[in-house]
Amino acid sequence: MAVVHEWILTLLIFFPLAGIVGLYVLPASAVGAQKAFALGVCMVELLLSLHLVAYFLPGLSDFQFAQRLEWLPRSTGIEYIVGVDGMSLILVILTTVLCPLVVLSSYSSITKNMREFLALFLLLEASMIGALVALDLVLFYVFWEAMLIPMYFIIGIWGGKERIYATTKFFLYTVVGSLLMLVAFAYLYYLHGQIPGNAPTTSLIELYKTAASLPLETQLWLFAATAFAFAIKVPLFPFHTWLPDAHVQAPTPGSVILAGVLLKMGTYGLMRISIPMFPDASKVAAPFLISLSIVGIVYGALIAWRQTDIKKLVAYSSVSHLGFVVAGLFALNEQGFNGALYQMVNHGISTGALFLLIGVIYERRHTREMSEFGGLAKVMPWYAVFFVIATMGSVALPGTGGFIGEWLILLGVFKADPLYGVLAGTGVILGAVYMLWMALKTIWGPITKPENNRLQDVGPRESFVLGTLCVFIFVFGFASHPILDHAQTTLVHLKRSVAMGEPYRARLVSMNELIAEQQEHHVASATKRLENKRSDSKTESEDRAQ
Amino acid sequence: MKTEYPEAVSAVQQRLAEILPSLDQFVFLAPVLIMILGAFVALMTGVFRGRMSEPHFPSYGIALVSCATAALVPFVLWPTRPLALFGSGILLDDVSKLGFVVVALGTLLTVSMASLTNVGRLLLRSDMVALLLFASAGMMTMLAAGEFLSFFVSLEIMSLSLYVMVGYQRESAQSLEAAVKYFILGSCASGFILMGAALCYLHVGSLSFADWGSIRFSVTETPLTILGGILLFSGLGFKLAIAPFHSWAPDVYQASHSTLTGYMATLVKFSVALVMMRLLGTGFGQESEILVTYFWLVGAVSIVIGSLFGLVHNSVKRILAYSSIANAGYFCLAFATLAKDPGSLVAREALVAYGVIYVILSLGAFAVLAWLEEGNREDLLKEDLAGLGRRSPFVAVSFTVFLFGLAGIPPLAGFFGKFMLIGSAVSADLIGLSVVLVIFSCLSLYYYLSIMVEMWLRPESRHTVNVVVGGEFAHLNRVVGLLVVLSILVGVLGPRWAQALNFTVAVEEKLPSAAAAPEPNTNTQNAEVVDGP
Repeated sequence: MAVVHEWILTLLIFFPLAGIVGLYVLPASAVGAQKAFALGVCMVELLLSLHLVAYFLPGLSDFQFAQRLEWLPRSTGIEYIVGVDGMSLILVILTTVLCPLVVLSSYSSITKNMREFLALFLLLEASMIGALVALDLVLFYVFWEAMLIPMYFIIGIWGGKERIYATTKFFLYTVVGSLLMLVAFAYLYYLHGQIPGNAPTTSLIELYKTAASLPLETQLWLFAATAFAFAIKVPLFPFHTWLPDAHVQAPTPGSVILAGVLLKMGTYGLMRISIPMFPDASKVAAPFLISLSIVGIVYGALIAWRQTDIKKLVAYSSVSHLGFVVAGLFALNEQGFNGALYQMVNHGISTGALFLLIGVIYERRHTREMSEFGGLAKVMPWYAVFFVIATMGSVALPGTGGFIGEWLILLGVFKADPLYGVLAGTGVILGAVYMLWMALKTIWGPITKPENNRLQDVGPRESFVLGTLCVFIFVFGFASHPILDHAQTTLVHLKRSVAMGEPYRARLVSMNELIAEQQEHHVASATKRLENKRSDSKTESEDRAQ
Repeated sequence: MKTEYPEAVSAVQQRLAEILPSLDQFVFLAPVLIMILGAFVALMTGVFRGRMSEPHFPSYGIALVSCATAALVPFVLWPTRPLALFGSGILLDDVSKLGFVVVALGTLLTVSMASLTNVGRLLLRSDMVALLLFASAGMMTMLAAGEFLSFFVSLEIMSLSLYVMVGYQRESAQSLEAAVKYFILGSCASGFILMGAALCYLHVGSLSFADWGSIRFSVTETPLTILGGILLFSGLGFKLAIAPFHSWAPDVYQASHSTLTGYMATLVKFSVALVMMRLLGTGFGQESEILVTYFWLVGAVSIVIGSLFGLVHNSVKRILAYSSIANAGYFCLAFATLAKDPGSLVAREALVAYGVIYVILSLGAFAVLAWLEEGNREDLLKEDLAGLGRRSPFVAVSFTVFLFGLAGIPPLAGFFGKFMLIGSAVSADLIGLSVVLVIFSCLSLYYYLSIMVEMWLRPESRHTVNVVVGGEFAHLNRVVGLLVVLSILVGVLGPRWAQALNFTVAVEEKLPSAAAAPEPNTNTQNAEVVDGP
């Protein structure tokens, strides 16, 4: 077990890559075997990730399951450091849960070059996990950019008619942001080396200290460069224009993973890098970013309302929903952070489900125009059930996870400034309007088109995928405590360090050490005591970290 | 002569006795000597060839053997500490060692690539092989040069061989045009370099790079030296294809065979970049704000031109030519850093790292191009690659790796190069130039992507090239595959050679008598005498 604790994150990153090799060992013609194999890889990955949940200590804000290996020559200070804390744990699990479902959904929506698709998908999964657990800026950047290549090909090869335009736009947009971020990283790396007594390093934990102590002006510039990269990925208004194109053109599995995980990378980056690194700059920039996100919430909602293409509607709804997440983040208080993290997961699940549902009818009718549908509840009752649940999840009805997420976010935003709260609140109303409008047009009412009379209801595979997601929508609606508890300590810690304008402090802890400590003390209260000990003697823990 | 200037002659003799290395030191020059010897043997065996235009395989074998030996020798025979031979004519330090190995291996790859395609085999005539080896030997001595004369002579050995090689397809008008263009502009550049060096000499009275460290740039006091420096770097900029001295590059690249283009675009730039590193690293013009501005400007201009002009072209080779102009601009980040802070270690590391990475990626890209042209027409358009991903996945994957690598997307080799270049630039407060690099490399990404779009995202058409895979071309797989593996490995493991390098520059041991006054005279007469017979 000790070995597993140490290597689990590395295993999670590289296992899908090994899966790619496996895919190419299988004969090229055995498409069925390839599908099953890829699904198997994703399932094993899910099981592996459950190891994290099982042994994660929620009472600790440090990076757990940490591993630190030499990567580049020591003189560069660029290392391989991975670890998870509350925020990344939840997103890692989101990724590993969504991936098998996406593979399942690709069985029918991907009709050509299955093996290449699966290989790219596994590559994407590996790089997403890598970006979530990397604790070294260069390592993070490598995974961050590596996510682009598979997504570029997934949209470009299996996408719709305008796929080339969409995928090129997606790629270029993202790269502009991330290259500026690279300049910021390089500058930070340089500044860190300039401080006497510092060895050059790109370790996030070390750079938190350096970055937070920079003068405000420098902080603001660096904050701007990193936040710009993440804002494009989120996407925050006005950098959102790539998203509708990419979503509409992407094949269903591509859209699901884009909405489900890739967009969260932007908000995750804000939480992991921009805010804790530059607390002072975050405070200065917060009103500006909240304003932008409120514009995004309202604008996204209004544009979504006017769409006739269902997929475009859901794409714009993502702009609106992610506006909520960013607003919650930059409320810079506990509720805001909690809500944002929770909403990231909810949005991934409910929007993922919606894209799958759109994929289902697209496969049957090869159109996504709302006017082509109507009355689907009559011919596809189960489809309607799932559709309504996913819609409700997206509208944030009480009882679904979205409710808790949006509620917490609004609470946080109100706390920051009631005016922002009121404005963001209109987004909730508008969200209900366009989503219910969409449900009305497609599911309810009379059947207007004769083609729709013969539509087949969802099959067992589709039901399984959609059913799982719908169950999650409810689970998140009722069981918010156990989930948020995992991130609570981390988020409180983040909030505290931002409020005090202090560097974000966290250690890399290896689980083996923790377990040894646990055995030393009494098992039951070990977590608590560790926490106390840490706050009692901060200096001591710092010494140990070094 | 002897009777007229007896004292001068004795000074020369004394100087010669001082600088001529002993035999045990001569062996360290083996890589260069092997290349030159190989070239002569290739020429000699060529006398017995059948027909002029046919490839000559004995000389091909000779080239392979001499390149391979030359690449291996530095690992066996190398001075334990940096050593200067011939005064400071040849410096044997870590940088030279790396340069020797890279040039020898690059030539090896070029020769083996050439042997694998039918068009490329035309390059394997004994005279061409000899020229190639001469050019490589020139690059090697150039990389190792520690003073102007040895540098210039090697530069010319390299350039003259290249002029001829570009024009080797005598029946092709385009090729001749390119050769003439290259020759005329190249000679101008050489003139610039000579003039620049002369003006610098005027100021310090020495041709050794180490002495040039004392050059002061001041608009009021030494305007001529400033002019000299600018001329010198402009001439070198021509060899590197830095804008505004880039205009020859697209034409010449397009007209030469891709294997040769690969050779020219990579190794020449690599060795000139290292020479620039030596020049700037010795502290050329200590208060060289002017040089910083100069490199800022030419760097920005070549990045902009390389990135923007490539967008409008349809010919893959021309796109790669513009990409190489943009890449030359990226080098300027490190040059500007060195100009600002001649001691900068990050800039040296970045240059050495990016130089080698660029050699790998660009050599790979041109190798793929040569492969694609095999059996098809030369100068392919983007449209000719439509659907290549389906037709010949291996070729398309390799090309994708090289192009993404050139675009600097991790986890491929180009990323670390770019990261280190940006790192060096920000360390000298050249954030503006880094931002230029970043923004325009995004634009240049568009043309890399447009090639990718054709290869992967479009269906095959009747224009799509047929790539010959397997059979007599099976070795192509291996050569290209090797470069692909290298570029991924470097991308994953980082450019480790750069950090391992010791940048201590060799210094002349037996410095001529401390009385500095007669020194410049001795040097000039030295040159005269050598030129005389």
